Amino acid sequence: MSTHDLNNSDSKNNNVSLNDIAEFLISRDEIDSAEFEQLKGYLSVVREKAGEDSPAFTYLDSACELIAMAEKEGEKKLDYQTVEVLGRLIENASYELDDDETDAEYIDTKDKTESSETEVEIDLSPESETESEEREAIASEEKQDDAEASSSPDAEAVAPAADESKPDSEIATFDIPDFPEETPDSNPGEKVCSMPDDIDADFLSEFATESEEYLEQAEASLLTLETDPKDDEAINSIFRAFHTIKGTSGFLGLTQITELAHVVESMLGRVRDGSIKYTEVYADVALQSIDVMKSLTEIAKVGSPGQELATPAGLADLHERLSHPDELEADSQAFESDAVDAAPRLGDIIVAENIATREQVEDVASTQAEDKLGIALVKSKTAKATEVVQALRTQTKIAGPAQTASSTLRVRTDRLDLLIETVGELVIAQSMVSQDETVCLGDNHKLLKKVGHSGKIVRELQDLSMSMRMVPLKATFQKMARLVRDAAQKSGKSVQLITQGEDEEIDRNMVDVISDPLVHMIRNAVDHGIEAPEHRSETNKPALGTIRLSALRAGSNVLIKIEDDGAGLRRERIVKKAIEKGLIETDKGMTDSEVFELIFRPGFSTVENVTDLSGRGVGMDVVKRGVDALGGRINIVSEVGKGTEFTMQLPLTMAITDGMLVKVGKEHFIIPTININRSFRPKADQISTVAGRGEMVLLHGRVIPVYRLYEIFGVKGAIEDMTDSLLVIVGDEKTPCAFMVDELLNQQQVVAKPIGDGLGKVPGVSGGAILGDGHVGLILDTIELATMARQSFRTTKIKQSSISIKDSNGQKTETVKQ
Amino acid sequence: MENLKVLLVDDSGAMQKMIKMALSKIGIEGVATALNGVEGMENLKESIPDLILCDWNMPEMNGYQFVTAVRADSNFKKIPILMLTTVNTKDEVIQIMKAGANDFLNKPFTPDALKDKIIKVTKG
Repeated sequence: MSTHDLNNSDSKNNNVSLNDIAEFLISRDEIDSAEFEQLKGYLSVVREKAGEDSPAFTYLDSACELIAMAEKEGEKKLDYQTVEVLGRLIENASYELDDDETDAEYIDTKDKTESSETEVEIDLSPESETESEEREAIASEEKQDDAEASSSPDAEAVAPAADESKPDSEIATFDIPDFPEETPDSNPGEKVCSMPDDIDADFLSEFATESEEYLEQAEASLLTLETDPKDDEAINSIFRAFHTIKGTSGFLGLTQITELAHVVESMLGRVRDGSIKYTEVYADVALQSIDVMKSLTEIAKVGSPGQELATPAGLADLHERLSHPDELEADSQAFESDAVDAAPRLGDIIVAENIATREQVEDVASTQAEDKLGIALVKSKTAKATEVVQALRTQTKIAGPAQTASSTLRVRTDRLDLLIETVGELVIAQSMVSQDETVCLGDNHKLLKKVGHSGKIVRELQDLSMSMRMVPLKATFQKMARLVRDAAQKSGKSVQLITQGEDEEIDRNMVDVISDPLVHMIRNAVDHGIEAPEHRSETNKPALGTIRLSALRAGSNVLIKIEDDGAGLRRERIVKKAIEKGLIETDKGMTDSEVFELIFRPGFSTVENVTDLSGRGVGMDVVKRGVDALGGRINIVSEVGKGTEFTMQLPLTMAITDGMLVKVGKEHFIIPTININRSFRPKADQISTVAGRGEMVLLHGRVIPVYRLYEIFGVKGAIEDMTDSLLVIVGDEKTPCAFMVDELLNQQQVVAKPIGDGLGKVPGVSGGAILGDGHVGLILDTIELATMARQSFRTTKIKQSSISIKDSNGQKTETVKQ
Repeated sequence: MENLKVLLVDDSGAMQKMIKMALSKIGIEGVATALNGVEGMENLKESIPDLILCDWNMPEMNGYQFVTAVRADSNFKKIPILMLTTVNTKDEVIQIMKAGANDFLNKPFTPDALKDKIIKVTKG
């Protein structure tokens, strides 16, 4: 075996066996260029004979490619890894050929009798054990090198071989690789597709749910790319979304979806491997794809087996765009050069600063084309050199931010988070020192002064560390400008977006989370708020609609306002709809703002026909939920014919909670101030007990359920007579509830910390905070707590003496110490 | 073949279900699942399967990293690995083989195609 020589094979008759090649490979330490050629030659002979349709073809083709790659790198010998890979490819090919009766003639009959399968396998057993181990060690080292060299190996996997002898122009095109369901002669966007007959309803719903999740993630990643186009992980996650949808939809036989996912995936693959540059043109196409994909999924979800599937709007258009990648690329490049031109031109500055008139500048520019404009202007005595220099400086200053990038340093967010957390601890530790008896009660004034001084520094440090994670809202707002433009164009309205306060800063972690609700509300404003131009002129409004997006800092909150000068919300229409949907029975006694709040209820939509703009399968309830999750509030003011104003009140950061410290027995709890509506001491005639619903308190004609915090958390020694206690009203307008506490202590900012993995998620508690005196206070999740209390009342009255939850070992642990 | 213990690594729950269904059609019920390479490695530490089915494109630890890591451990060198993915180019084939997988199968596939490949890579 070791002296195997390919020349001895019956090669002249093209009767090469894969076994011969395999044996040749393992018997050789070095391969010279002639032998390289030979090897390639033989492999291609077998490849051509197998033919493109043979399943063995791919393996043989890859084997040829691998050898060509090794040769190109100037390798004198094939390394262990290459031999191993070649061996596996040949083994696979041999198996496929063996399987195929018609291909049997290509395998040398002599070899076939000796069970080709075992022989083809690259087995290192002939070599001594130690040597083989050595080789393995080398191979694994090489593998590591490989992995290190390419940070994203799958990007490489999809990358078209740069050395493939394709003309350059082809690299920018998406030549779609052979894909079984591809029908190149018909436009997939126009094809009528129907649901497969044997579709499994369970899988279909699973598929739909998962696809929606993936698409949402992809959308989020696209938004990330808007601010950081080089974020590889974001591109990867969009790619993965379409890749997975392609795979799963293929199983279900939803060809319409599979085809679209495939072409989008191809485009994204090119972006990922860097062969096309990601620009807004591609972002738009990707966004469009996500929208269409969502509609497709929506359509498929409600379809029944065999039913013909509707074609969503935009599918044909999308396929059209994706099938002309060169046009896309051209658009993309045009866009890029636009971006470069975004810094004002020198001539414009000269004109703007009244140094020369536009005619003069243009005159100079056209007659003295060979000089740069600045020089030409001076030469023609249109402007003085100092003026031109000044203008040039202005230009640099405007274009400046791009160049200052080098003075910033990228820091990983988790490190920053850790820093902020540690500083938080420092603040607490410092306040423990300053409140220590020996410091504040002693008469050592020098010490008191020193502690005070260090406290000042610590607080400055805290402010500074918080500010490091703050980013301006500018990027988010800019994205909205684009959104408005696109949305307005689609709906045939002319709308301008005026932004204000875009320099307000907000916690980096919040940016992603507010994007979604904001996008939704802006789309809504364009789609439903602003009227059609003809309607606007009838009511004496300027044809150009205005949406005003503004941010305003208010204490530790930021107010984001979205105002439009559109039709406004019509109370009677909302009421009618809400009654139709069974959300309310009557609007009697409801204030306007209570009625407007109804649009945040799930399943509410005032526009009959869902458009592809705002009607993305979700309603305003998603906005409300997003804002709630951030611990924010949302408020609507609207006047018919004048417009609507949404105000979102959001905390600047989620790391620090503004909390009300309350006392229950000996325990302290923190209720986020933003959740609290009011607190009061009830009078006896306000309190009643409703059968089946528990204790209630009457406040301004409303009956509000009361839950005793000491009962929920099993605190002993708390005030039990309600008239001696304080009631804290929390929750929104729809479902307020009251928590009974002993007293309110004070309002303070606390650094929210997770309770720790050991305890897992404690129901009703969102985190803990170390208070100034060193005690731990639990931060209450009022929404969850109210739900919990409501439910447990329905089943049994809460009797626990303390909340017990299971930790990871299945042991019960006391979470609230008595 | 019925008694094969399979480890299935795929980040998509729907895909996992469908592959499990396909496996069940060809009589394989002993399937452990993992959502990514990290989970897959955890799983391997607990029990060694007869076959690994693995997706290529996953978050956390992708197919390449996973297969490379599996092959780097001498305990797992012999486990047959079949990549279930969508392979379009020669480079991708080479990449998969370089990582140390035995073979690949393009998604979507029929249970029969999966059966053929499983017989092939497990030599049974």
